[in-house]
Amino acid sequence: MLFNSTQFIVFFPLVGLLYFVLPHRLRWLLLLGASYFFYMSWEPGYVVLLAVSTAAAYAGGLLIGRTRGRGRTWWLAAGLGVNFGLLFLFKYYNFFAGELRPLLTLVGVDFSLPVSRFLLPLGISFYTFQACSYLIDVYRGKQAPERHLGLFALYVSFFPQLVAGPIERAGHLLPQLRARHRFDYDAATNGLKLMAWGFFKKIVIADRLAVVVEQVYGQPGSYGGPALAIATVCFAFQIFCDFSGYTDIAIGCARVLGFRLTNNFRRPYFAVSVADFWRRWHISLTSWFRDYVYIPLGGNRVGEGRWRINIAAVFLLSGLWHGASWMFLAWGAIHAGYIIFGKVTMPMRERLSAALGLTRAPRVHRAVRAASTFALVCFAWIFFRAQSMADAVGIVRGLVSGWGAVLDPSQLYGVVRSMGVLPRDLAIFGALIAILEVVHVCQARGATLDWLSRRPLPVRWALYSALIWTIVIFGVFRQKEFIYFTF
Amino acid sequence: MKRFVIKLGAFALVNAIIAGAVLARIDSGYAFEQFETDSVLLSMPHNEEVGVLVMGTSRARVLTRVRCNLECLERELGCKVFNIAVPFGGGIVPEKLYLGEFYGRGNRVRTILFFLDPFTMFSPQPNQDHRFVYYEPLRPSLLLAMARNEIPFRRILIYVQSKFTWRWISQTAGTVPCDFETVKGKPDPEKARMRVESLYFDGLNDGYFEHYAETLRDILEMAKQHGARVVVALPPTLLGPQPGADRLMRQLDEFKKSYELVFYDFTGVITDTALFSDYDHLNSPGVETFVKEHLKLVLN
Repeated sequence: MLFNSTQFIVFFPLVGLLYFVLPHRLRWLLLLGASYFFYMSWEPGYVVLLAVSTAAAYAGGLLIGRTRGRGRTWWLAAGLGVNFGLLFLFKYYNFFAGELRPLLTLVGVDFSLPVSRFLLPLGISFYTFQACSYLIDVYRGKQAPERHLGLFALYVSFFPQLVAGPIERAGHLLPQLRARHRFDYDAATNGLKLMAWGFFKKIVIADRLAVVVEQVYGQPGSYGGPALAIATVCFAFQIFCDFSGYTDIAIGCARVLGFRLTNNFRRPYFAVSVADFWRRWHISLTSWFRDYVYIPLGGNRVGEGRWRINIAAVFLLSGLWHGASWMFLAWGAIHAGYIIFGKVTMPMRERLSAALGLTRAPRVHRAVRAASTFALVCFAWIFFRAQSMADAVGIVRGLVSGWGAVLDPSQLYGVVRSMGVLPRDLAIFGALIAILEVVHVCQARGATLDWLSRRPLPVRWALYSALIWTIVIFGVFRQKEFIYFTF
Repeated sequence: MKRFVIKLGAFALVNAIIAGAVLARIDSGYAFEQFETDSVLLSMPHNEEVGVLVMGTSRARVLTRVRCNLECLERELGCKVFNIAVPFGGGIVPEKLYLGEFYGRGNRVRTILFFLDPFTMFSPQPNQDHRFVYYEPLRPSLLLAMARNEIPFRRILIYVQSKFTWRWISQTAGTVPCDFETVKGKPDPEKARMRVESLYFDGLNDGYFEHYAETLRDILEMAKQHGARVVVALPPTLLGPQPGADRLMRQLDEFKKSYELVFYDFTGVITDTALFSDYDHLNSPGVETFVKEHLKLVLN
């Protein structure tokens, strides 16, 4: 079931109403049933995987809690093994099987593994990481083992964040699932506002930008620098609006029900460095890798060489988390390169900024850093979005050609039309992105929801109506999936 | 929670009223000629006597799709013609709804000319699942008729939602005066075969045929109750014989026992590719030839 579907428009109000009507002791059952129903509406049989993952983490947590000594490690390994094993089987097996054959051929072994025909289960990367974070936290003593199977199952499968995050920690979500929630007017209204804003980002912005991206990235060899650059910037905003839109809807849904989920985005394109970008983008995943991979490897409390290895490991794994493909690995490697290069060159860049007088104009300095970070991130997005390494390399090469068309209006018009849009469409995209960034600026300066709540009723209703009617009139309702569903 | 529900309800009501008012205002400004729009209802008259009412799919729609086609048709037949045929492969269920709207607006017609393509009897795709809802204004009578005629709820939602889109709000009259597109060279049998195949989404499904035969009966009954003569015909195309045509003709023979109708097969009457814009649609010279050499003879 997609958030942007008629089924969800019926499903969510019904669940919300029943939730607050039912007595507290039955609410977990309602939410668990609703979450499993939500998941099964995609592909019913795959709910078994969700159940197995849940059972393994639940049993693992209890056994870790009851065991002393090395036995705890074995139970942790078993729980992680089941979860990551399922993830490997359904997501990575074909990739590794495919890559293994040429390697074996190199050493003279003619052997190939059978191909798996399983579908990629929806949300498996998300709920697997969520279940595993619980196991590791129990092992570390940060989290008490959860004895209530139903509540634990709900923790793993909570429908607002089941298929595309945010990846919640047990310490944050489990207490909320246990707590009694009274209907809160402000939480409900703020939740609905967040959902509306999420739908605006997804249906109006992301799905419109997708038209240009699909056209150009579908045949990148047919386009020159201007079109490739425009399409790449469009993709940067498409993926942001798509993913953060989903997250807003998820957080808004949960808030209506009285739950607070982790914020997953913090104006990532305002970042002043790639390291800063990763503190703002998909925060729940970044913090997962920080807490369960980077810090255990030593973090930055090791020598320079070891630190670089740690960074490379984290970003390669992060790339791999997104998909079983060399493209995602390349994307992760590029970001690792940015972080390492950024640290190495920081003294030089600081001297350069001082020499150019940028340190005396902090706003300009910040803008320059944000623009250059955005350019670096967009470059990396090429590898994330391109359909093959050959396409990605072709796009990079193509970016430096065809810029003469920018100086000739008739040629420029032809370039725009070849992307499947009119110049006015690009203007609309620009306006939508401008609206998005204005809201982000407002958010950076203060709590916009609180500001909104203090406006007079006619002003509030006018703004809400304008947002909703913009979604209805300008939205793309072809039920396009959220990009992060494919992870 | 009570306060929340009341405020949400009030917000929804205020927006529904404003939306309804704005939509009514916008729709009232839409007054198109038949050749200016793909919408049937936006050009449908009220309380008028029409000489010939054309029904069918896009193959029938072409008869009035551009100005010169309509002018030719009315000139040669010597009467007012109104076309409720559904473009883009629309079938028998939308036609029943449109006929109901036509009579519901107090209109009268002497002859119904129904270009009945067999493919519309064998699948829900041209019927309940057709996109005709995109082209029509929001009318309670049509909404009700859709619900009664098994149009899926999803389609009804699309019908409502499509009225609140930029495409609907900003529509303007189409301005193509005549259509002189032609098929180049001889028809390619393989292309013709593929075209025919693409129309039969569910093959020659007997179950669907029986179901839509009842819809056809409803149309004939409506025509009978309003005193209209019915002429059923297979339209001219370059595609050759249409699968299921014999099944359709047997069914029409059954209906002849209860309803006064005549049947004509115009399938291969025009073979000159210069008179077609594609394999199954006449262009303007093609319409003129067809009307003068065939239609005029059967209708007058």
